[in-house]
Amino acid sequence: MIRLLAGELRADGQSWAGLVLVAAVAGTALGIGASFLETGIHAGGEMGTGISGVSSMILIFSGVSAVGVTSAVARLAVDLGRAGYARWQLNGVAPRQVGGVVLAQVIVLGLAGAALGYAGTVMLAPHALEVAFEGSSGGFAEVTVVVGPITAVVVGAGVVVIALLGGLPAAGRAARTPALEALRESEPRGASMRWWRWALFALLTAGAVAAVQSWMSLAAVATAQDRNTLISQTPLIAPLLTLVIVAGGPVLYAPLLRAWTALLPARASSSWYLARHQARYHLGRSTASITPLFTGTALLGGLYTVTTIWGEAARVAGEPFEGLKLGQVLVLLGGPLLLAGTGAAVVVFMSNRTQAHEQALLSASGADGGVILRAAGLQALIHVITAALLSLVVITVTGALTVLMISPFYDAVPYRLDLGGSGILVAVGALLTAGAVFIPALKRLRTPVATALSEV
Amino acid sequence: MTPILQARSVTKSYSSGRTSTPVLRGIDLDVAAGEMISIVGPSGSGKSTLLYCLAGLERVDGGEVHLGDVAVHTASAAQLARLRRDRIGFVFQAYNLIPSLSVGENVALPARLARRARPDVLGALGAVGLAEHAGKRPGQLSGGQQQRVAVARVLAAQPSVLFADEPTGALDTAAGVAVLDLLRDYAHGERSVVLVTHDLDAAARADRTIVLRDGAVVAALTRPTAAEILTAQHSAGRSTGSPVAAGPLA
Repeated sequence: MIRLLAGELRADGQSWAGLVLVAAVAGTALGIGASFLETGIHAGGEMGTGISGVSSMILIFSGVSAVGVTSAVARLAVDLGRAGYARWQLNGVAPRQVGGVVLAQVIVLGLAGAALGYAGTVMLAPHALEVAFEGSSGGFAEVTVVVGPITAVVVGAGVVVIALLGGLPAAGRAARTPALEALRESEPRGASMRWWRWALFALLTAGAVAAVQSWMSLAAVATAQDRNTLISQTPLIAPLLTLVIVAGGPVLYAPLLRAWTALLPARASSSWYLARHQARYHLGRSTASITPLFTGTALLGGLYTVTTIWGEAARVAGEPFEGLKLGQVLVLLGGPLLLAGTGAAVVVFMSNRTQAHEQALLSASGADGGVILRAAGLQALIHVITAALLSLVVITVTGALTVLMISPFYDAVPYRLDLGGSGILVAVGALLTAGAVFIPALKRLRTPVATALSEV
Repeated sequence: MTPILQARSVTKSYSSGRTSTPVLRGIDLDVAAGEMISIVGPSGSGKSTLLYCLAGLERVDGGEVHLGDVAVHTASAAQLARLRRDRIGFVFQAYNLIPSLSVGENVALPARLARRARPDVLGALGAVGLAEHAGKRPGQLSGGQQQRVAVARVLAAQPSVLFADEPTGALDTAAGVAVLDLLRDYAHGERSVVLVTHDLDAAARADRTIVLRDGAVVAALTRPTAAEILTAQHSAGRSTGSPVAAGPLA
């Protein structure tokens, strides 16, 4: 069985390398938060409380992003190996063993990513602390970062559990699907969630509703003493909403994607027709492409919107307001944004083989290079726009809730959405994704169709 | 009769590291308009490679292939794409249907790509006995059904030359005969069919049969019976003579 596991890892190296890379970035992002926590515990006193306070925010932002991106990539990695698992079954490996081997693969690679993430934490945590407390008084600059057992446990357990969130259901599916069906259908059909994912989604939704209700109740009877408590909770709105949407991703993304792409009729062009069909059919790939960009833009836009509304209210009231410093943004969102970029690139890289197959099939059907390239570009655009729409929902609701929460403390709280940062991220994401799709597609056009068909 | 498809001294090798294995060794072949040609030979004789080279799906190493006024051997990628879209239809051994499109959409795709009017999809699917499966995905069909959809897709596109690589390989006898009837009927007027097959009864439905061995044409038979093809294959196996040119139907 170990030989089978190792052989499969070698054969599908491209997919698994992508998972390791994403797990490593997620591990680093979580590790920096955990190392701050560990440093705070070691430092103790007021300084320790301050550092730990920052660590909890980093862990929340990085955790949400890591859950979304890593689990989606793990799920995609397993789904891409579907045909391989079917062949195992045809060669006599029992379905339960298939599930076991897939699970072992996810755990081994999650641990490998976690180890790299821990190494990344050792390298980056001191710089992160420096940036986070730049210009602060109170001796923060003299603190030595501790990257020890707490960090190791958070990184190791965190990354493996998050990878299993995506890998576990995919492994179960790989074991349950009859081999011949898996060989006939290259990807699992339809958007579905297992009972436990539904339970998680319901639990998170209920938690979000309860949190919002408690904030609103507190805001309704708020006194001046409650002001700092409520205001300090506002940056949590966007991560909370993002987490809820990520948890329900498999059943939320597909209807949204279907609904907005239906606005432009299929007869608009052959490329649009093909792109729309492919984005709707390859839901695993679509989900994995949408999630990184969605989490990145939602967290960034949410944080900026909260700060903008808060700043505007303070400005109207004539109170001083510093706003977000670049260092703070980098420490809070550096990990999630890096994870968003890495996740988006890795999904394109991992899907290269299936995209090559689709391209060869289209060429064989008579599609010319222009149609193929436009279809690939439009498919990337569909993912980017879907991610942008989802993050717009998060940012809009975050803005509305922020207004409600801080209204008791200011005479006027204007509703403002700060979409600048998210807009730039969406534009950069669109450019990078389109580039990552275009360049290999262009290269593949040089391969004769028969060769391309036989290679995949 | 003017050939619609001409191949002259076609050679093709596959390289693996420093080793180059010749697959086609100077093939000459003419296909006339309205003609159905079958290509037979043992596994590894170069049948599928020849079909790919004739259809422009694979580049030849040497020699020339002309499809009407288009020099396939020197055509650009864009010209080849136009050729596939407008004049060539290919039934692959592995079906190669687009999994994200329904069966009906697969059949209509070549016309959509060529911006032609939507073909009679249900009629084409009905001809292969699959009209009721138009809304299903290819992955929901059996191998034999997918094979028939691939045939319907090509028939609906109405190409000048229809290439078929083992189109009855996954079919039961009755379905195989029905598909061969369709291919046979298709080859008339300006439309030709080039068929690669292991099935000698299928090969015998063609106007001419080309026997390949080790990448060379070793026999060219006009309206042969299955027994004659078998004999030609066996005697070619024993023969060490020169390759035979496969000219157009007299």
